[in-house]
Amino acid sequence: MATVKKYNLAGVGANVELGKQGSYISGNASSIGFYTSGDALQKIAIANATASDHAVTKAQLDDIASDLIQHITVDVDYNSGSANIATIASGSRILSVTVDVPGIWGSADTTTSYIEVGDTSNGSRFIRATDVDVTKIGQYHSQYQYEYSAESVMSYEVTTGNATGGSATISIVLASDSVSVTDYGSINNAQNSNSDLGNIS
Amino acid sequence: MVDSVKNYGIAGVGANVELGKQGAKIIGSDSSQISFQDKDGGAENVFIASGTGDTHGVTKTQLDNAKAPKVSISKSAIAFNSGTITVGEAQTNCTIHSVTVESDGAWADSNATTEVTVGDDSDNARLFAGFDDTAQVKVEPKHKYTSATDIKIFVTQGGATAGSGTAVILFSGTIN
Repeated sequence: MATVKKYNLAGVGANVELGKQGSYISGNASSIGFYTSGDALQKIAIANATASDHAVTKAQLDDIASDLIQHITVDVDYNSGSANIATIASGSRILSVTVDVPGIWGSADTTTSYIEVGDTSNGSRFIRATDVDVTKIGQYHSQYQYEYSAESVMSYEVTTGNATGGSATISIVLASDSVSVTDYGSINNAQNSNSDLGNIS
Repeated sequence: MVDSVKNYGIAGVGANVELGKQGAKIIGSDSSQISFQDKDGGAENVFIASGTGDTHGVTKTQLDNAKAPKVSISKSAIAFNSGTITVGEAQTNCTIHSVTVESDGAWADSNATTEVTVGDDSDNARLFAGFDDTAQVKVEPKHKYTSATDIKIFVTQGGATAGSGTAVILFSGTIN
């Protein structure tokens, strides 16, 4: 079939199919949509945006997302024991770990009841046994940065000791291309993982 | 030729459609995507309104605005003989929250003159000073640039004959 070009054709139907049984473009007063022949939304291939009202590409989105800081928070109880928090990709850098103790742990003492945070290679890499005092309300903060050269699993361990009650929240701030937060057990761990620190403007 | 013809009854066109003579093209011959190309086949920019629905495309402005208040990280490798390294250009209102410099612990023959600072051409140590090749050192300058400024790492070799490390900058805003 011969190709026809009609450069003076300035109007077509609201829904225009591109080729027989091809994708189609649908326009109405408020939007233009791109659809597959099966009516699903279709991908569009475009150049990287350079002006404010250009559409952006996934590459531009990924480039920005890879630089953003993420955080993970995990609630633990005095008897939570040990658990994994998240699997993080090679190249991830832990920027800080904070343990918040909102209330004094019942019957606890500083030598038998404590919290450690680290990974499967070093269980107290970020928070050691003596770093958090569960007999006092407070936030205990490690600013030690550590970059993983291979995929690793972050973990915590709560040693109950003489404690009869109490809780804490572990917050981890990290830069990573990939964090996989997994519910490793029956306790309420890793319930919150955000790709950024929230809008602070 | 008539200036323009409108035929709203047309519901199908060729898989690839040229918009005006030698104009941009819409390529629909690939069933997995629709491409917007220039006359030579290069990807074209597409102007759109700001997205308001989940399935809308978003503009560069929306992406830039989403990023601006977020904290980002920039990592730069350093070596004992790096000299001056340009990290990038901090844009207006870019705020440097912290700079951490750590070594590989193998800075052979380093001495009191050996130093790593981070700053800009106006103040080489505006953002960081106090390199210690045996420790991880962190400074929180909280400095906000009021105009576009190159951020640089200045490595003073001193007696060092080996060694490497990393400079980590946490910032909000944009460093190009």
